[in-house]
Amino acid sequence: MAVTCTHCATVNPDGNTICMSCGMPLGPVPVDAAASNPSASAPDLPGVALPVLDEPLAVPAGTSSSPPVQASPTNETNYLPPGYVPGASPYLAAPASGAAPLHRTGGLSVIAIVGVISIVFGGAGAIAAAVRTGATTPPSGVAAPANVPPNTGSGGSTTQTSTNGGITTTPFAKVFVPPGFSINDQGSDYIVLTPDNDDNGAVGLQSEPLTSTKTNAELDQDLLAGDQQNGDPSAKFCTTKAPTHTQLIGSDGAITADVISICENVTPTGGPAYAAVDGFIDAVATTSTGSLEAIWVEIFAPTNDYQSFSNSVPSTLFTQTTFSNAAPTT
Amino acid sequence: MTCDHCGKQVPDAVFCTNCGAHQGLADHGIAAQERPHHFAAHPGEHVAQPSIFTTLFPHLGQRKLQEFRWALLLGFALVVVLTATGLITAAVLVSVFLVPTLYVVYLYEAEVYRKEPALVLGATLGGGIVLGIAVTIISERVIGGSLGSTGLPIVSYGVILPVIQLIVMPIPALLLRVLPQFGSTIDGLVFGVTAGLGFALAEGLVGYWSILTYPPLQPVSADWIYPITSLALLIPLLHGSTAGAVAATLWRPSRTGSGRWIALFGVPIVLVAVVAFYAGGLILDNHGVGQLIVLFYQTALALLVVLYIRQLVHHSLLEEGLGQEYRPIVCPYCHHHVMAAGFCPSCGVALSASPRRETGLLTAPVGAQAEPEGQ
Repeated sequence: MAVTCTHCATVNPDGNTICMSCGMPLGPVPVDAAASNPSASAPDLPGVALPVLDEPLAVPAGTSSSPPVQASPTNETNYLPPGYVPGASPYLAAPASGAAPLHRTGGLSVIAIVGVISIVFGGAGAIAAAVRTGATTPPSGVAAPANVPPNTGSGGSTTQTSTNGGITTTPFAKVFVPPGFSINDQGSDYIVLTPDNDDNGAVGLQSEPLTSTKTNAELDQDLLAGDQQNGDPSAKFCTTKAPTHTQLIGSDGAITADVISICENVTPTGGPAYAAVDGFIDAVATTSTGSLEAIWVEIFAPTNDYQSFSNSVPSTLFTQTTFSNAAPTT
Repeated sequence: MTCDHCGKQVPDAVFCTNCGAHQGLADHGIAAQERPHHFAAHPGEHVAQPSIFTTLFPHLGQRKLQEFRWALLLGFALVVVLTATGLITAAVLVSVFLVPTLYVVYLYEAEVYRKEPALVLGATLGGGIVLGIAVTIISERVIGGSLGSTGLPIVSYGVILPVIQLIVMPIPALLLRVLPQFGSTIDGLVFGVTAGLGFALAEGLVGYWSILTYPPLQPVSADWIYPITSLALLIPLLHGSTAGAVAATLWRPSRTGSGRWIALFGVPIVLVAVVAFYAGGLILDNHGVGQLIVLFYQTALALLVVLYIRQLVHHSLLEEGLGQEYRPIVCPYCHHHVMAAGFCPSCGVALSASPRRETGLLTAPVGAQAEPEGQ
């Protein structure tokens, strides 16, 4: 037997417990519910609005674009949601004006917030860099340790003072910055240290993967070739004697290294050429996976200052610096 | 009408508002009930679609998702510009804060924390930051010291440390599980992601502290673009998704249906993905494989975790949406004004994966409508 909804007068098939049109319970209307919502007793409500869509409808593929959605109650037959006005439409009416906005962050505020945060942090980082370097924009160009020119006094810049010395962690090594030295430049595989009170020398540390098997002697030749290609084609080893040896500290053991020096002429941009010595303590190391990498410490200074400068580099730089993932070759 | 699957009397619509099943496909059996083509948090997507945003920002509707995508894109574009111009310190700072900031805005937009913003943010984001600082500093000292000299850096950096991180990161989120109002799996996911992002933020700050305090003078931008891309996007994605996955998995120990079986694989999947991410990345790097390929490899592993999260969240939402009270809502996904219980009868989105503010929009005054869970 068909059942007529007491709210909207829709005739429902037998067995329905809720109205298929308005979703109200079928059967006697609870007194409380009817009293709390006078309009519920109207058989048809003119002026019930269609839903207001404030953005394009996104309906999953394969579904109807306008499904007949109807209200449905819970098992509590007297449940009548506050604000719910049943009507002829399968949808509920749009919320009354003054209702809470759909989103807490309006318009493009998300983008604005992230933009402001980015600018604030980016600006802070830029200012910090500018304060430390004395320039708002770092100079461009490659600054690999093999080509580090000495600071020239007025144009030179010192990044920070390391009065007491300390370890700085880089992706390729834990580098001990000796007292009186500062980090002048740094990359993912190199770092350059300069003395605070001497503009004419620099110390660089670097790690570089090798694509083929090499000995320390072959690495010496590669470093010489690098200086010849990048600076002075006439660069050569300062002595014809065989290299002496020392050790570099790898994370997986001490590694025997060659000590070599390359004599070259350096021509700085806008400045006079001068003779310089590029000293290397270099070694071929093996990583935990068996691949090879070149590691070295480079000491650079004009020829006249080289001896005194290299003597000023404390041995702690070598004893307390550890190259990561580096072991002696077998 | 009577739902094909749960047998309840529900409004005649495409989806059952009680159980979320796709209606009119009774002969499709489990496929109609579990509706894999309609991810419960975003019905326009397949559950197996590796969409990062709709997985880790599950409460957002379509339009807001686009805003968040644009915000991340613009933020990352700024990072690239800063890197290219040599402002490495600025690029690192923006990278570290970009995704966590975006997520805090998301938490505010979705009101995931209900009435406890300070508690939730303090516990998850703050807790993640504190643990991130502690773990990163301690691991630097321990692995950089004793473990580093064992000859097994891949084991220490690729296995031991990631496993420790994986154990520690979700802890702040899991502490919130004791609160009855945060009972659904999606709460665990969001809180876990927040804790993971806090951890990533701290790890980035500690790890790049030397760059922040000693800005490089003459950086080569090409050297920095991959590490900074990883810092800005990949590490937050990894930490956020893994912490979120673990928290969501452990959030509800007792599950039913497919969610129970999926959850069993959760921790193993995340563990394998994390170890493969770090150890595999180190091995590839040591063999001279290009950084771009390593980046793709690691991204693929992070997406594996995302896919697991989608499966878990989808089945959890279908399970947890059962038996909810009816209430008038504006569906946050299709924006229909409907009377619904656990799922929008029009588009099928699980309403527990919707901003609280939106699901209660039509119920005035605010607070008159009881929240579904915790009752």
